[in-house]
Amino acid sequence: MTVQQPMRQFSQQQLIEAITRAMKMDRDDRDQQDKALQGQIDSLRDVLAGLDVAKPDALYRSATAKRLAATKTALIAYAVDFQNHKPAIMAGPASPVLRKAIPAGGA
Amino acid sequence: MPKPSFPIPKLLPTVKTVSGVTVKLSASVIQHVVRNARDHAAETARAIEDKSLVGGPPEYVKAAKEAVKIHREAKELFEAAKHHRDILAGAVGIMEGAPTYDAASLYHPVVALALDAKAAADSLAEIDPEASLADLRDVTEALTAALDQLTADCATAKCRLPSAETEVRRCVGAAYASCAESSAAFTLFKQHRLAEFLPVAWPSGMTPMGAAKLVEDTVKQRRFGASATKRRSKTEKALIAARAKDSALDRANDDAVAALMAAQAEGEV
Repeated sequence: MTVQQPMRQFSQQQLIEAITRAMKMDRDDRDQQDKALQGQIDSLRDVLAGLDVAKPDALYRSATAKRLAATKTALIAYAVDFQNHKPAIMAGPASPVLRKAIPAGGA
Repeated sequence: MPKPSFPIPKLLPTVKTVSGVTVKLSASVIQHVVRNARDHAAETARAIEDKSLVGGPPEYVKAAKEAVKIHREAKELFEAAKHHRDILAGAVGIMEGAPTYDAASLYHPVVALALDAKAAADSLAEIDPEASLADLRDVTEALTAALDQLTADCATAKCRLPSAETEVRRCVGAAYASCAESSAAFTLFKQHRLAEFLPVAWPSGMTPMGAAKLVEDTVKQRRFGASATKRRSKTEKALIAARAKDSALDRANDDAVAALMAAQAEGEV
């Protein structure tokens, strides 16, 4: 045997309050979620700030400066070698006269 | 300066001749090599002309052949250095921002590195223009100094090459003249194909006998010139001695006159 419960009647005021409460809960949830997301974003930003990959320009600049320094050193050493160091026969069938003028391996 | 972390090999100012001799250049090596080749040819020529070289005519021809070879070696080295000078000029041009460059020279490490350095400096120019310009200036100055020295060396060597060639031809001419008295030497001369190195002033179709006469005349002139110089030198020495003696006599005379005048003055007093 079933007993039929009488349908609960809500006044208009009660309905408005219920909907308002539900909306507030929903907004609170979303605020919570937003805060959580913002926290994650902030954490990620902190992590990225500590990594060079977050600064591609700086990395590129550093590599280019190193490249310039290395090429500069090599070119200046080359010029100085020509100006200040002795000549030398490095290889090949040189005549005795040439060997006299330029001792093998530098004098 | 940050420590270079790129595998850039050490560059050396080396050139390779077409005969396969590799030489590391320095500031004035080319003119030195050409001068040595010229001196060697001149000494050899004189020894052949004076017949003071041991071994007789066949050896004279061999010595002339050697002088030709040494001269060719010096010339090849000069050409290689000239090419290297062009490479260096291209590298300096790149550093100075030349709009174009010889693409064929890109294989050379100096040019490739100059391009690399210029590109890096240009990239950094927007961020730190002063540092970038300073780096460019340092490299350009060093390369320009090397280029100037190599250019001067090549210019001096170029001036010496004609006289070196003249001496080599003199050498070959003397060797050819010696062929008049040796068929073996003449055969050797033809084998070595030395005829193209005979003195340019000689008429074509000259025989070894004719050459021998010419060389004999040259040697006579040289000896006469040397003895004339010696005579002139003796005369000059005698003249200097006579002048010195004259001056000494003048001085003695002046002293005597002064003494006489002093004595007269004392007597008057």
